[in-house]
Amino acid sequence: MRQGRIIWTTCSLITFIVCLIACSKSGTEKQAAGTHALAFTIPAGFPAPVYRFEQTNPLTREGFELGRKLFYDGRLSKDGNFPCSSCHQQFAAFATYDHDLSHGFNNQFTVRNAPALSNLAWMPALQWDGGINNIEVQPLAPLTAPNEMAEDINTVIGKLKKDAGYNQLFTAAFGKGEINSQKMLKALTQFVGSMVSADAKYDKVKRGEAKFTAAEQTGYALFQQKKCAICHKEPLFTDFSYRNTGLPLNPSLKDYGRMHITNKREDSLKFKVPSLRNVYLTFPYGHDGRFYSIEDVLNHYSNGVQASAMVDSLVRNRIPLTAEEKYYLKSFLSTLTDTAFVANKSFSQPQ
Amino acid sequence: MRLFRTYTGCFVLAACMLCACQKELHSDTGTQEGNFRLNIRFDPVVDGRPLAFDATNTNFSGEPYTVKTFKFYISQIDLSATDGSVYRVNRNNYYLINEADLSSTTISLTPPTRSYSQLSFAIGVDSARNVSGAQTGALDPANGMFWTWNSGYIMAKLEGSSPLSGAPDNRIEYHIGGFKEPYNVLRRVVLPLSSTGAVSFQSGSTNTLAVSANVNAWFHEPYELRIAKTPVWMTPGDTALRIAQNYSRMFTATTLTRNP
Ligand code: HEC
Ligand code: HEC
Repeated sequence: MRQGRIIWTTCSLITFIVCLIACSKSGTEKQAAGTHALAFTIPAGFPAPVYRFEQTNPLTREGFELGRKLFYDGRLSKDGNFPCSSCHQQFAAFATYDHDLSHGFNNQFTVRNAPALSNLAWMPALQWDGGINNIEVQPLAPLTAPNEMAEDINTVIGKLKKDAGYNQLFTAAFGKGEINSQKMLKALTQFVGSMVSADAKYDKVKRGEAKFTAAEQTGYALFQQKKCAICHKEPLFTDFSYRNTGLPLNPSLKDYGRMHITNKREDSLKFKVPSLRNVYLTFPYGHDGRFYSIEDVLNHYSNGVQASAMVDSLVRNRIPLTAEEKYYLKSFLSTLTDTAFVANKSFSQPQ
Repeated sequence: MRLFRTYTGCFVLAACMLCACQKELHSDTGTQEGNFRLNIRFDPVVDGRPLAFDATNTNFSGEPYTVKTFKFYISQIDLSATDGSVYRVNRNNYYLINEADLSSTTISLTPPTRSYSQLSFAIGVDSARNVSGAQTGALDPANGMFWTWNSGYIMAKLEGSSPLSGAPDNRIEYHIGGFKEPYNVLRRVVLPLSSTGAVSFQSGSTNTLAVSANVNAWFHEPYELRIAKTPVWMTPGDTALRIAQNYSRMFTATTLTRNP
């Protein structure tokens, strides 16, 4: 009798769960047969990610490897010279090393500084102005921009379809069926979305595996006191908001940031708060790369802010910093460099 | 024995729940199959005459223009029957009507046999789909109806040229989209089928309902869109909203034909 009840309960429970899974609208997407699941690990202390692989794009070794190949493949660009990796270089934490603006097709420049790529699964919107609302469709922007990869989506898909190797890889990752833009985008997402940087000294300190030096500790305290941490919020070092930090408009680029997306005057010159993870590797800084060094950025907060009613109240009256304070802040920021991330072979160019 | 019964009970319960679940999925996906076919064909017209691509038309303000591209998304189709019931087409079905490509202008449905008095649908793509990442089929960004820099679907597109356009090559280009309030351009269109005459369907027949889409409606009522002033519009916002208001009135149910 008792045994029966237990079986009954277990059965109903299992049924219920099965139904929940089967019926759930947001749903869980099944990975293709024969693929090997990859775990997406949420680092200790991180919030839940915004992008949920399990819901629409089950992370698999095959999907990830395909995305990696695509990321490093110049054939995704019109003339073959501009793979994603030409602007997003691993040793620069996937920013463009030493370039204020990046180069694209036909000797043209991008209008913005290529941001570092990491922890993208936590980002509610992408690009400096937040114009892209889902990581899956992000690659369409550089692929089709005439000053970046300058390609047409159909042409790219056509090139991939003609390539026997890609046909095999797409089948391995997504099962039988034609190569299409959705599969390409999901594969790229598996690769870039897996780039998690959470093993810097800062993280080790948080996990109790390392200790800040006195200078780093002082810098960390200043990072809070000077309100940096409100916008550059831990542990992702951004709160993903759009802020006007009093950078004067660059008259040749005429980039009004968030206002291009919302059409709202109050969003003029607002840009997404960039994460400061790996900031030591990602110079130059700012949405147009106008700051060559971290020192330059700190000088901006200290005495460069162009005050106006539009500027964020946290920085409007400037954040005065002494030379010493700058030194400490820089010491702290250097603890955000994740050498394991930039050396991680699984993110580097496939052989 | 008791144990056996318990197991059976489990099985029945499981089966029932799965069924319930199936049903849920069905009405949600609306693949409820009827036994006759209704084709809805969207015919491009200019004030009642068939649209000729690349021929010159004249809009309400007397401005001459030609059309090269005329595309729009149709979704959320409902057919209301005289008995008060509504046939809801699968909400995951999106149709891209490309008026320059005859193979794309017809939507084929198989509703249950009823007498339908009203067709309604949305022009565009709902906001949820605009933020759901990479899509396929009609929503594949390769169809050229997707903004990459401010991600979201172009819900309707009209391109061509006019000597009054100051844009390069005298182009006119209206890419209308935007899914965030207050600039959501998704519009619902309700077309009573009274003008097409009899609307009761015989079982086993194919019916074709012709719906005309008047290009000239883009240019006036309620908003006067002058080519000379605005030859190009490609961003979400007030103007997009007004143009969407105009084109939401471009449809008329014209004829219903029946093939046995
Ligand atoms: C020509 C240089 C260039 C190429 C090639 C390029 N990017 Fe970028 N990438 C940029 C720039 C510049 C930005 C910032 C754009 C903006 O904010 O408007 C950016 C932004 C991004 C972002 C958003 C990051 C954030 O923090 O919001 C992602 C993700 C990204 N790129 C991935 C890719 C992928 C994947 C590819 C290949 C399909 C690629 N990029 C190709 C220059 C490039
Ligand atoms: C009001 C919010 C806000 C506050 C407070 C703030 N920042 Fe920023 N920070 C931003 C924004 C927004 C940007 C990007 C600005 C741009 O390019 O338009 C930025 C850029 C940076 C950059 C350049 C990063 C890169 O990759 O380009 C650094 C470094 C930086 N901030 C450090 C700091 C420090 C240190 C403090 C405290 C002294 C601080 N920030 C305070 C919002 C803020």
